[in-house]
Amino acid sequence: MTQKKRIFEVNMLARQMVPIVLVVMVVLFSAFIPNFCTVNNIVNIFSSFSVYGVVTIAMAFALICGEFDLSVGSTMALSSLIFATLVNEKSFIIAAVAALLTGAVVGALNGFLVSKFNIPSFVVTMGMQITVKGVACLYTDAKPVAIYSDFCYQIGNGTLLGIPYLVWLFFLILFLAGGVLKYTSFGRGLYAVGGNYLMAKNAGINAPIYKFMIFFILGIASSLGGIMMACRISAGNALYGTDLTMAAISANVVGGTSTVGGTGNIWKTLLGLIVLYVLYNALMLLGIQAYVQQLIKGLIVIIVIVVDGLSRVANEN
Amino acid sequence: MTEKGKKLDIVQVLLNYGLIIALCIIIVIVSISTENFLTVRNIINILRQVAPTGIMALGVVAVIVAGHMDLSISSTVTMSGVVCVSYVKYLQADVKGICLALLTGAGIGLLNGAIIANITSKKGRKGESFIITYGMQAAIAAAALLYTNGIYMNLQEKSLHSFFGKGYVPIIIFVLTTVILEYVMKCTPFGQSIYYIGSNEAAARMSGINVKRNTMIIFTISGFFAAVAGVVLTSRVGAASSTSGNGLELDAIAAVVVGGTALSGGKGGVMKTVLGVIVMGVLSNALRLLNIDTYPQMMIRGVIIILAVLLDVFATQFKAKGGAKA
Amino acid sequence: MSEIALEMRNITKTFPGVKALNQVCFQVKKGEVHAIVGENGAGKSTLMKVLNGVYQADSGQIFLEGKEVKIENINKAQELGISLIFQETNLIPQLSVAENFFLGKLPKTKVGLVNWKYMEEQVTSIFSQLNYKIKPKEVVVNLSAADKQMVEIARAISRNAKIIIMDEPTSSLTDVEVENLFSIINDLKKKGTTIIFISHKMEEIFTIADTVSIQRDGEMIHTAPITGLTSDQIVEWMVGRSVDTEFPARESKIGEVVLEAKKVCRKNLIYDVDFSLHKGEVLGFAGLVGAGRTELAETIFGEGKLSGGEIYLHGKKVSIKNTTQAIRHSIGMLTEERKETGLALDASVKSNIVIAKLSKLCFGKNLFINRKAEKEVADQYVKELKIKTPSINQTAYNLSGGNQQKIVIAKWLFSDADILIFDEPTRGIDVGAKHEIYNIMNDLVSKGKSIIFISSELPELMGMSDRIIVMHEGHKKGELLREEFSSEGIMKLAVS
Repeated sequence: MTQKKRIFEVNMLARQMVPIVLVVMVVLFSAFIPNFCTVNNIVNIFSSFSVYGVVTIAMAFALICGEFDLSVGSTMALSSLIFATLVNEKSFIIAAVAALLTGAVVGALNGFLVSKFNIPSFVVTMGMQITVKGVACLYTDAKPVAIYSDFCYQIGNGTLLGIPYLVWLFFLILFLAGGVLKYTSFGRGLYAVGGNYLMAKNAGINAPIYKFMIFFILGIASSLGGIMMACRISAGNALYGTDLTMAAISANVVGGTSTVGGTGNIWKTLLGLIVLYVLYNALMLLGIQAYVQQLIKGLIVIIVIVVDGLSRVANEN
Repeated sequence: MTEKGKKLDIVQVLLNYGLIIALCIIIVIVSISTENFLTVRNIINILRQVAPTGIMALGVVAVIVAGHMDLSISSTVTMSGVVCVSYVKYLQADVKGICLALLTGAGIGLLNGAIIANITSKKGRKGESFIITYGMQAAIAAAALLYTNGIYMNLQEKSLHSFFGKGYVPIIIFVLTTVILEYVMKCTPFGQSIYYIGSNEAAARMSGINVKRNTMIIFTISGFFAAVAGVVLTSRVGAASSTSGNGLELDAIAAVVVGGTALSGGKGGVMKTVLGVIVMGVLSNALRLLNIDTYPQMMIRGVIIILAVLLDVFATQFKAKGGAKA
Repeated sequence: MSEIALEMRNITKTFPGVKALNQVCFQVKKGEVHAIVGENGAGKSTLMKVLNGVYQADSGQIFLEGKEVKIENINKAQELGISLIFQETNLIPQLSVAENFFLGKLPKTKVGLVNWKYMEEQVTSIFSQLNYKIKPKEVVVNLSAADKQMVEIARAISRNAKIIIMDEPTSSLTDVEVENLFSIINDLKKKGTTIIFISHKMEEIFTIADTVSIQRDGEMIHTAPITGLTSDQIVEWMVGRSVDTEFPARESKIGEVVLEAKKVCRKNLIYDVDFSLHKGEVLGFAGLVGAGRTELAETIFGEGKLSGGEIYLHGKKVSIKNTTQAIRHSIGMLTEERKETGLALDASVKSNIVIAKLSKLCFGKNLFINRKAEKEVADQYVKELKIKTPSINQTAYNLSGGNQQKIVIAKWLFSDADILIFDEPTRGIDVGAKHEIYNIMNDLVSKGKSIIFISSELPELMGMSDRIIVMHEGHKKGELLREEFSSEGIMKLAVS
């Protein structure tokens, strides 16, 4: 048993690497990049992940529960289009409700298929991703829809106390999610279901409902992201969110959430987001080519998992 | 009881062979409503169309049987395509280009395999191949962008390379890869070991199977097949760009799933996948002939994937129930 | 004392193809420890799952303290004060002890949030009642098997359980921990809690139980107070025939040294272990849980890394880096965890038998598997080892533990292994099948093979081995010849 304990401790050590890396990065970048350590830039970093961040939080719920969702990007795109068309014709409220409903329907479908029939979420959400993308493209013939509402522009780009509304919204959701995970029986149940589905079921937890709720939440979060995106850019677009799944999963993984369920929390998610977007920001400020930036984005995920995996395997021998 | 038994049989057959039945129904409907569907030319056209995705699907089904996942194949198609075409276009070095493309693909696969084999803990955490190859997909796509600088390369002149996309050639390559893989998976000790690894990796290791090596080989095969698909695809289209493989991994995996291979590993196979590839190909061809637009086509394809899996679930559930009654 | 706490009347439960419980009647008095024994598949666990609401009986009634009750699910069972402690611990490893306590019904504050403070207080108070120290915030991953068992028992107590069912609670505990558990059971008994105790181990039943019920083939055969019964009697009821408790005799010639380990080390697990194994010999390894026997065996089999020392096969020094090389050196290992590492449950009987040496079946240079030969080989072993299976194409999942174990043995026979490591080969299989395994082992050594036999059951270890090596925390503590065997002697070395 001492053996097991040790593995766990080393894992903890590997996890603590991430905050250290973050500190090192921030120190280095502040020293060598002139515009890095300015209030403006820091606000910039946070606002750059506020939209995707909302979905990343929802994805953390899914990963804790041992699931993931490939359809979030398509849902974000479709919601942004529905929001954009309706906000031009009707009111903001109607448009927002319609967009959120869209996400809710997609999420509920995913959740129903996964929880009711025990189909792997990979297949269900892959099918859903293609389907919803098709609907989104069909809806406006794949053309972007401009938003003419000044109110929307204000939401997407206005600030309160120097901080964009969208960043406020992100943190509001972050704290809300953190509270749900720590202090509600739903949140604790997610850990139980992700940790061991059968045991959770045996303990009287209605595990299928949890799986359903995960996808439902992801659907709503994606459409909320769609609305945020539409407000920020003042347009709805079928191309939004193509890299959303990747971004959401990788931020969580970098933060230290495992992809097999049962572990993770909201601070890890926030940490992962900050680490990644600080790095992206630095790459941008350094004027590094966009392609190289993309390459680095992919490599980081691989490196994090490899480092984590190797330390674990080394422990086993 | 005998009557009931017969009824059960019919439902079972319907569920088990739902795919083939669906295929037949599509063929009948479309051939009645359009003239050009059931012609030799169109059939060949379909097979030509599906060949690249088909070859990719073959590679990935081997990985899936071993209990893993390979999402990087789309970028491998892109990368090998641009490597190949750049040599053909700018250096007129076809053989060199094709060989390099295939090597690139195998190399990417080997890299995937080496990483996954060495970080998979003994207790087996299968989620990792998914995320690793997802990261690899992004990285290789970016590398392809860097390599081409985003330039779209099209080929005008005929060359050795263009041979691979001409006429029956893609179909022959698809058939060849099918035969080879079916042989490897069904007739060799290696193939049997792969199925065993997919069923229980720890038991495979404790039975003396070199799981690490086999994992590396299986990913290398997947990468290599993706590169073959890349060469065929660029040859047929006559062009390559840094986006030519985008989204194809999902088409390939969709074909595997529709064919009835479970993602949990240890089951399924090559011929099932070929069937899945053909069904998806016939379907999109039929939709095109029926003048259905690209976007509804996408929708339908997505729905089909989900339906195929649902059908599989019902078949299994029904079998369990039928067994209880007997 | 004579009050009836629980009565189950005419319980019948069928599964597809099997009648698991047939008109079972069962009575438990309040405040007693009631043992249920029976072979694997006798229906003990099914009966307990009916009682706990996991399964619904097809017919029959359940009475609690004279009142008929319907137990539709686990929550209902808990409300009625029935708690089942499963064979494998039923705790979620990633959660804290406190959360596992309240899993499924977390206590809430007035505003509906999880009340962490209350949870921790409750857990602390229950453990202090039990005189056991576990931090409520500790994550379950970090606990030992005994701690986990204790958490489960404490959890049952916290739910005011009137009846606690323990399904083989001692299977992963050391002797000291078992003693501790028994003293807690006795405390519970004094407080009026009724305990149903399912176990394979006779000594334990005689130590702790007041009454014993014997189940066989889905029927309740006999219930009687433990006093006045002998273990032979109980075993006879269990198997329905008189069983030879002696170990089968064997004739084998012990020959030259085939395997020699010199100062074998594995980092943090094994320290400087020396031993030699002769041709035709069964070499026993004794020790408590965690003594390092499995880890030593893994090292020889190439599954664990040799960090120091040397291994000689037939006098030649070898370096075995992985299991593939071990098999090439004709070593085979039957693992402790049959279902996890012994065989692939959803692969066929046939492919499980041939998997370790597919090359033997091939035409040419590993180019084609000869399917006909594969079938013949599988058929032959099924016949030879009397593996009960409807067909060689059946998945291993559907077979009983004993038959699954025989498949694993067949695998190693087919691989031509001369040195066989049997790690707890009889764990979790029934008495009849155990004997068959002993016979197979005898047969193997008489054919000149050598067996390293790891077992935690001293009677079988002493009955089967030619020599016994005793280990403790990774060190070799002693080596006993057959004439020196005694339980006391072995235990003394094992705990030192």
